[in-house]
Amino acid sequence: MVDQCSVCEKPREPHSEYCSLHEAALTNLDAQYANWLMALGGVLSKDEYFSKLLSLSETGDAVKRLIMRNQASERGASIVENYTHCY
Amino acid sequence: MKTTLIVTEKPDAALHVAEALSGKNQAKRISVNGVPFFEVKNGERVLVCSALGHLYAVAAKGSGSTSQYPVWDCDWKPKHLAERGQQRQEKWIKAITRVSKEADQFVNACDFDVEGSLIGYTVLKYACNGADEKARRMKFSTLTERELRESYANALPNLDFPLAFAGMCRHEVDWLFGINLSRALTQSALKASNRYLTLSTGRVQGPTLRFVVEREKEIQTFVPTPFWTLRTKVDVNGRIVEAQYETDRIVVKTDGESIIKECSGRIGVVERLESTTYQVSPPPPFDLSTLQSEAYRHFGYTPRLALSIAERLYLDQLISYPRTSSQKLPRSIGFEEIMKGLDQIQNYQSSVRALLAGRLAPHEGKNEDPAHPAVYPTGTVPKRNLSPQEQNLFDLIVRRFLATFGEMATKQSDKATIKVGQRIFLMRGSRILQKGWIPLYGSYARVEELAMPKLKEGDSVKIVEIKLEDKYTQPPSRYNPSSLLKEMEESGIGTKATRAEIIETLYRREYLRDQRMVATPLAIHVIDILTKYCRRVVEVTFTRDLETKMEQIEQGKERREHVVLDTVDYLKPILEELKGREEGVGNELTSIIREMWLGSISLFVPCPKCGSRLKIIKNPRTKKRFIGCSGKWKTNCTFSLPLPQLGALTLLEKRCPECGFQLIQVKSRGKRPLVSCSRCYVNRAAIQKPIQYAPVRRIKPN
Repeated sequence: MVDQCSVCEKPREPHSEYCSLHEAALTNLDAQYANWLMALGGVLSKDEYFSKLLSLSETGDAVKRLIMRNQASERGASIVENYTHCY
Repeated sequence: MKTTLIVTEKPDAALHVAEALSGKNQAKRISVNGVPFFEVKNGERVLVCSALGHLYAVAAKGSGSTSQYPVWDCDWKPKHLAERGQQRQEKWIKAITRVSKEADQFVNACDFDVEGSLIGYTVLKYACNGADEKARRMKFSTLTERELRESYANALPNLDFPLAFAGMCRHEVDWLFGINLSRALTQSALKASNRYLTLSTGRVQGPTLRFVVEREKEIQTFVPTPFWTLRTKVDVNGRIVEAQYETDRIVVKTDGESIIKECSGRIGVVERLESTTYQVSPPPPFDLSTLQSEAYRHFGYTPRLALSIAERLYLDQLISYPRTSSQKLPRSIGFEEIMKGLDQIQNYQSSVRALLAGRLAPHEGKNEDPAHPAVYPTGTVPKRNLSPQEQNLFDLIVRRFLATFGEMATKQSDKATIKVGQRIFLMRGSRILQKGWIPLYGSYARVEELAMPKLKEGDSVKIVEIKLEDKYTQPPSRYNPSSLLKEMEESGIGTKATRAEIIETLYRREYLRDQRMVATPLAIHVIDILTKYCRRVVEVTFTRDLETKMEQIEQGKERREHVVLDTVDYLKPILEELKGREEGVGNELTSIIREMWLGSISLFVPCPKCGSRLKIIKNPRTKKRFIGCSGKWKTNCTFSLPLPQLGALTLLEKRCPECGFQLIQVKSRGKRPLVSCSRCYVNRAAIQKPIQYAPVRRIKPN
């Protein structure tokens, strides 16, 4: 459905792809990247940033879900292929 | 001979009152249609009966439709007519009415608080044919013989009407909120989906749930950031001790690396030594909320459990009335007599004797309660074997009581400042100089001592180890029953008697799970809808103002009728708005119904067959759960995987190392959490040899 959040199917926020929860997660994700860069002396790609957050127990579930969903949709077809292969 | 009818709140209390008033004569137990009464003849005839908590409740006037809203007219009715499953109350009311005809004087001896005053008032007014106008009021804080006798002899000439009216007001206002909002939600859902969905919210329940949901959202959207701490060890005259860098957190990694480079292996100088001596006051005696909070901290008892255990101890005459906000212990309770009573219990003998040797003056807290003192032991020795839970709480209450009479404790904190080049490191220590009240509180006292090596200014110490430790900022802590109760108290919503019950209701409605509270998807959805369509219902402001007004009724400064009318004025526009937006509310509630049926949680991995979302589905008929494809209704995809049927299920944000499918954790009480992959489970089962079953024998019909 067009008016559903891309992550969880709840109603989207106006002018956003996400519901209020995942929109807040996205805002925090973007805002904290600058702090991570500063902390690590500017050496951190976005992919590394996401992988690190996925491995931390402190990271919120909505944030992890957002990262996973985006990673899954980027890899989309290949993931579906892999699963089918397993069966 | 004149006959007096005394009404108590519970049967145990009726027995204690009868025994106290009977003196040397025994109280006679009589039964009226199976309802127990006690008869005392001691110069006068006294009949003692008990209620069963509330025998009357608020209900809609007349017998209108149960689906229409708004409803504004309410009345007090016998509980068996207002609520289902209250037949026992009917028998009780009939028996009290019958016996009341023999009485010429009436006394309310229910617990002295809002609920107790209301219980006694409604019984005397409705079951005893308007006896409330001539009834007297007993006021007591313990069920000991001495206090009950005194309170009967010095009973107040009239009922405590302001307290009873405050109670009536609370029940009426809560009823107006509950019935109207619940009907609005139910009717909206019914119109949109033709399905019934019972979703409850209430005046205090809504704002309380919102606290947990807001916290849940903060935790779910939390992004940690890294910081570093320096783990430093120094050699002080051959002894290795820990020191801290002057800044707790290093926010840039390279700064930490520079400090290590500068200080590793270097000699530092003790630049300054500071010691501070301070006194630690004994803890104040328990009011209900501090008792609940300590019971949770030491034994893990939820506030409701702690209150119910405390009530049992009160009914056993072991402690004073626990529903109190007071942290005061008036001399009139008889400190010495209580101490002498506790002296009979071996565990407390040494503490009691030490205290009796001095002057007994408790260290009191700030909070006051005009109705009752703080919670204290009566000095009565338990007459039966207490259960472990009762024993724990009794011990906590006794030790807290003893500790309040203790001397101040004296502590010393030490700090050494060590300079290594341009960098500053600190060493800290603390010790107790005089124990004062600490041993009286036993193992419940927090005693932290940290020895610091002997140093003097100018001494040299060597940094033998210094390394960076990776740390991350932490999400806000989850509420637990104790901290949520504290939050409610600080926000001024609910009362000491109702807060614990409201928290339990939230668990019962499946809005919350676990001791470290997790708001369920249902709770998040309900609060989102209420916030969107009637925000004021989940805001603290109105509820807090109402509590203030109800306190004013208790003090005789406000009228119950005004407060109820204010509530109607407040609710009217909210309900009109809800009625106007029934379709929107209904559609969103329908999505809750669908989620409740189809499972509210989706997996982050897509369906391997059609790419649609995979969901946890619960079969409403068999109640079995499994992973199913949400594309079933669009593409007719029938992909499914099994799930364990027992235990609490959590979808982990981790993939299976073997097949990449999302991992699932199952947690059952008393067992270790089990992490499994549904997909690998199916694959392995397919590879294994099929089980050979014995052939089925057919039984021939006769």
